[in-house]
Amino acid sequence: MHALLILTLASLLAFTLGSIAPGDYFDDMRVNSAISPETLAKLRSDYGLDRPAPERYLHWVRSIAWGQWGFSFAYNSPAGPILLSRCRNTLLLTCTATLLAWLAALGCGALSAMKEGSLADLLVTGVNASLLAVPEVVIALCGLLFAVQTGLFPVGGLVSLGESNGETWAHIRDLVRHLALPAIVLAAGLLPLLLSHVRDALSEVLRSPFIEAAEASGIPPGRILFRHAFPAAANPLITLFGTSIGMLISSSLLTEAVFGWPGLGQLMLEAVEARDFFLVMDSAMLSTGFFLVGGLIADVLLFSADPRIRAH
Amino acid sequence: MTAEPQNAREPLLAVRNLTISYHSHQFQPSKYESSDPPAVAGVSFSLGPGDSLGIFGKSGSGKTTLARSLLGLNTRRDYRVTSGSIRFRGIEILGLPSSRLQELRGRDLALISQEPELALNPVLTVGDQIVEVLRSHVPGNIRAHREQASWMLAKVRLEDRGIYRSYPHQLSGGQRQRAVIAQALVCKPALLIADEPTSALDLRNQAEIIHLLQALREEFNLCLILISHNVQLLRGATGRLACMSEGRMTEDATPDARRPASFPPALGSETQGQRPEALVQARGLFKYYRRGAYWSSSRYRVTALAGVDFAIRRGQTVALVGESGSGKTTLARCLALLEDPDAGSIRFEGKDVRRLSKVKVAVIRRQIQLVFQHSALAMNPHLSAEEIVSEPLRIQGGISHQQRRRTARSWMEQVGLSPGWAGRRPAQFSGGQRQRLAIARAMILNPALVIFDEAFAGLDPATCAEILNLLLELQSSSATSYMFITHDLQIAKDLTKAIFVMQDGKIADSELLSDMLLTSTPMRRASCSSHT
Repeated sequence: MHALLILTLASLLAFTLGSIAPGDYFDDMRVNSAISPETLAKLRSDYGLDRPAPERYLHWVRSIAWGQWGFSFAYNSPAGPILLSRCRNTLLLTCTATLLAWLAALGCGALSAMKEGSLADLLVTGVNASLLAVPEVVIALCGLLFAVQTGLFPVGGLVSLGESNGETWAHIRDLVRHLALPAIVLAAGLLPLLLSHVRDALSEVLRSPFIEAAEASGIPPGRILFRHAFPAAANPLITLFGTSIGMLISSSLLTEAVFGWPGLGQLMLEAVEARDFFLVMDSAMLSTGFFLVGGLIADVLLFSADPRIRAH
Repeated sequence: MTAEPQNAREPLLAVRNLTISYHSHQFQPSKYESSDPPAVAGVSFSLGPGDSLGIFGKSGSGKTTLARSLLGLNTRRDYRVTSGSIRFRGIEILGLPSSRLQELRGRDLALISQEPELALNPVLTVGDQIVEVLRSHVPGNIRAHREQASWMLAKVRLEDRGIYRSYPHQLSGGQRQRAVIAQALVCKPALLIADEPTSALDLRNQAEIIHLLQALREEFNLCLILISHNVQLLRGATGRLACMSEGRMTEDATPDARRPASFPPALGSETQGQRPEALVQARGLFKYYRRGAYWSSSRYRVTALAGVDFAIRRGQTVALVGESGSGKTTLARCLALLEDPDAGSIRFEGKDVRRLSKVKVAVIRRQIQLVFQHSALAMNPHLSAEEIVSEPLRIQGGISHQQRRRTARSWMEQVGLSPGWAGRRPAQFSGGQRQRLAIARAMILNPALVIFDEAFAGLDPATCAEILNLLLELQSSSATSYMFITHDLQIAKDLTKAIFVMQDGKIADSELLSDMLLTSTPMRRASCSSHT
């Protein structure tokens, strides 16, 4: 119920802001002397741009219900199918990167929390701090440089031309090679935030008396970590996990641009530049939707992980 | 256990000249450090199988530090063993590799720690936590472990199958402490160190637990070290007695010489002719809690308060006694406006607080302070003692930083804490010292009503008497009302004539009270006469 309300409000806000913004897709054509003002007016009325804003909004909402998601002027087709394929590419990249980042954060975070003050801890927090300090674009460019210098990875794009001739296995291998660098770069950008949260949450729990009591009962350290400390430290991490799901759609904009990844981020940039109104609206909606889903997943996980929350 | 040959004449546990010092790395000017005596100074004793030793002493005398070091647990917090040796079955515990220590802990050496709230993992069920200890030390399948855990829970009188599946927050303080005891004993260790194992229990349970520990000691030839500030309790329960004071241990000290200073006369004596108006008045309070998973068929309702009528006047002192789980704490939380009752009314100075706006309730809440049973839980571990004590002043606002510091330090001094410790964190205080901090924090705003929820449970008699005297002085000048929640009837009697007995969520009639007073068993009297 809340979620629907938020979605409606967000769409209204985005639509209003989008409508207030000056100009539309056809404004650029005015400069072109080959196109007469009459043709432009005809085009505008064909695409419904001359109607009042509330009517356009309702029309857009109806088309979302139909699965068309409005109409893209630049692609001259319903926005839905374009979004779908781009969204799939983005999710492939961001899900891989998020998974990588979480695995690394949990592993390194646990290591550095368990051996607080040790050399390993120093190393992990040091690397983490430098990753946090270096802007994402620099990491991305370094990755690109690495690809160019060594030739180990393709420099950009989603698939190599002419290699995907039917054989599934070769296709997957090609995809993985293309995916590796952008995913690692994106993961490196996500890692610092996750790692510092994992480390803090875990080290606080590891210092608590019930962990000491478990130690005093002679429970092995590994068992203490996984069975006793992780579940008790899970709450803030689950909330963070929800947020990182919410960011799946919107976090990869820069990486996609650098690596020429045909994802939603690039599409959105193009759409904003061309004032392809409905594509921009749809991207904003997707982003909001993912944040809501992330929040919902986090709530469900919290409910199942913490008996104290269940009690309320 | 083959690292060193086991001498047949070697005692089970031999402690020689053990010295443990306090090391601070942070926040502290060194001048305070140099004046700190070691937490444990040259302690020596030895115990054979089946022996029992009772250790008593003031809070902060090093009892807990000693207990922890026997399991090799002192490498954490800010204490270090500086000299001495601890030999268990001929094996030197100090410097033993952690994998060997881990084998010994829980299987041969067990520790029951002081605060059960903190010793249980909040996200695991009680049964699972006992099974965890078993599976670390005893081979066998999960079913056998579960049966063993249930058996052990039954041994500490938690027979109800529901307890096995309960989470710590669903149990009362007494039940939690019993679960901790079950966890410690489930592997039938050779040496059991119990650090204030009964301080959270009501009188009947205290006696039962002590009896149970004695029975198990005989059954398994268990060597028992029992730590308490309650000399009477120890005298009944252990063969030998030792007193700790400022880190030094004197064995076989005659307990009579160390009787606590006598309690002050009943507080708030009603000598003033007129009867002041009711400060807080509760009528027909009901409070329910729901247990069990939302979708579960075994979901049920627990009645914590079942129609409580209660009133306290300005400047009056009342005591609320009752067994654990009888609803004492729930009533306290309702009166402190921390919990909304499901039915009934609460009036503060005649105003119905349930009808007041939030802003007005916040003002009233400032007038009612609560000192909790487990003070460590009620303190931010990152703040210094001074910040903790002065925080209410800061929240209230309008007082300069310097003024706040001065007030906080003077309050720390009044409750018997050296102002030089103002920079320490809660973890660097002992349980009793933390309790004094909590009391200082509650009193700093000069509230109209202070509710002490088992607040004196962790304090030794001498300190307790000091603080009670202080409270009495304050009451005569500021007409503060006190409500003491305790399971110790004797303390309640010493404090006031207005004693309410709670049973099953109701205030029981006064007949029950005289009943309880007349029929107290010798064990009960024993535990009453000292302060626990």
